[in-house]
Amino acid sequence: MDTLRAIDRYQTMKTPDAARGPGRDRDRSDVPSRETLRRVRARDPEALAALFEYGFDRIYGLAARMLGNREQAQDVIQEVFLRVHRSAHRLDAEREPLPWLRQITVNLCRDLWRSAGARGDRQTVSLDEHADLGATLPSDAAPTDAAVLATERERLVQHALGELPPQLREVVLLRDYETLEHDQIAALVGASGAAVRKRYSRALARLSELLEGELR
Amino acid sequence: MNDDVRDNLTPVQQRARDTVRGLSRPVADVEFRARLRTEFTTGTIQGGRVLRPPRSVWRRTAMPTLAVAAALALLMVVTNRRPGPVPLGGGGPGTVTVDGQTVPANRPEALARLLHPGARVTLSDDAELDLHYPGVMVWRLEPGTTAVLPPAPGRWYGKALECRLEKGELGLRTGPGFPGARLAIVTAEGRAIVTGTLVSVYRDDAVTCVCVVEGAVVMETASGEVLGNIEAGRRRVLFRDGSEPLHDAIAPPHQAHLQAFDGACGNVFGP
Repeated sequence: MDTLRAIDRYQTMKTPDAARGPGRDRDRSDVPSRETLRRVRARDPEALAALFEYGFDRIYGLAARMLGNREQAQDVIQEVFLRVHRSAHRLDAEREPLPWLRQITVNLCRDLWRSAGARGDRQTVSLDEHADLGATLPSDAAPTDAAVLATERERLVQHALGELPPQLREVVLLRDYETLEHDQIAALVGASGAAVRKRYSRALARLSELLEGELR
Repeated sequence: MNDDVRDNLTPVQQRARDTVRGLSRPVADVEFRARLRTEFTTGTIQGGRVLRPPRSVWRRTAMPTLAVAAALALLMVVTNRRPGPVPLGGGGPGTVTVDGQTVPANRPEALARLLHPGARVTLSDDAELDLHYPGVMVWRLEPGTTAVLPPAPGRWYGKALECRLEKGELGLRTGPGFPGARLAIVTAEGRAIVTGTLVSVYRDDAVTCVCVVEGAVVMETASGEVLGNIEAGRRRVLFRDGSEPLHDAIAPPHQAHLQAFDGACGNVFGP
């Protein structure tokens, strides 16, 4: 079982480009049907399971990248699904639920940042802390040079993301990791489109500095 | 034109963007995923350990500041008030009428119940009355006087005071709590503006006379014309018929009378 799990992870790491970058989550084949969403409103277990399968990996990935910490990401996702369950009766069955899930996730990540900021905690994470977020090599698979390099590269990028101020980090992740348009991001973070563009540009400029040498 | 084109990124920014786009999607712990799925579908899900959002900066800083300011303002209001007039003792067989109620001048406890800032006080021709505004000033109302009493000056605000002398004579000795206050003694002929001194104001049907034993008093006519200061040892007499005001030395007997009043006040305020 562990081996299978490890292979699954390895396959995830080696996910072809089609699943990365723009359009990563635009495969709409698993979007719950209206009928399923209506049953979610009634908290039908089967419909809830469909919604879970549809949303979990997407928002877990977003939370993990935003927070750079697996444990915090789990806490956030648990809270997301708790809130979804509590307010399932308000779900709009006519609309795709991902934006709703994403909004809750982003809000909770922001709460976490603000809490950490208010307590004087660091809002960035060290390389070691998010080492588990990169493409993890299976322990019983023979790592290739390319895989090792890819893992190391992910670590460096995640570290650089962790060094960005939260406002910049969320914008660059929503734009390039979640592949949202600026107006969608603006609505999500409650800022103007111009502000989002500015943040995005600053985020990329800062990332470029942080990853200097890695980007050549 | 899509956002990619509009972003107008530099080559370096494009490489940074591509790096983020190339990130893999982290995989959740399988056990966590399975447990959460079960809890979610069965309705047994509990909250994560997500930290509660902190109170906003407004609530963390401005609200306590406002609360402290409000408490201070309340404290100022509460502590601003000073006690009103207290009779030091009446004199003579006559009576004192306070807001229409008449009591013997030699019954200070009865007077104390009637006196208050703004009270209209009339002394019969055979009564006199000394009033103490604790720590602030002592008034002497001579026989036959009718006056409207001033409030006590506030500790922090409300320091502009006014009293009205309709007829008779008032003596005033300011005390250690008076500085900063400004008291206008108003008659039909004018206003004597006192900021801390020993003074008496006399009024009858024909004149208003202001005698200053100590300090200085600014004198104004009823129409607001400033007549200048009255220095220590001097008096100014305003005539009701509009005659030229008189400005000369206080008559020696009256000076002696006021100094005796000053001596009595010294006992009230202490050394």
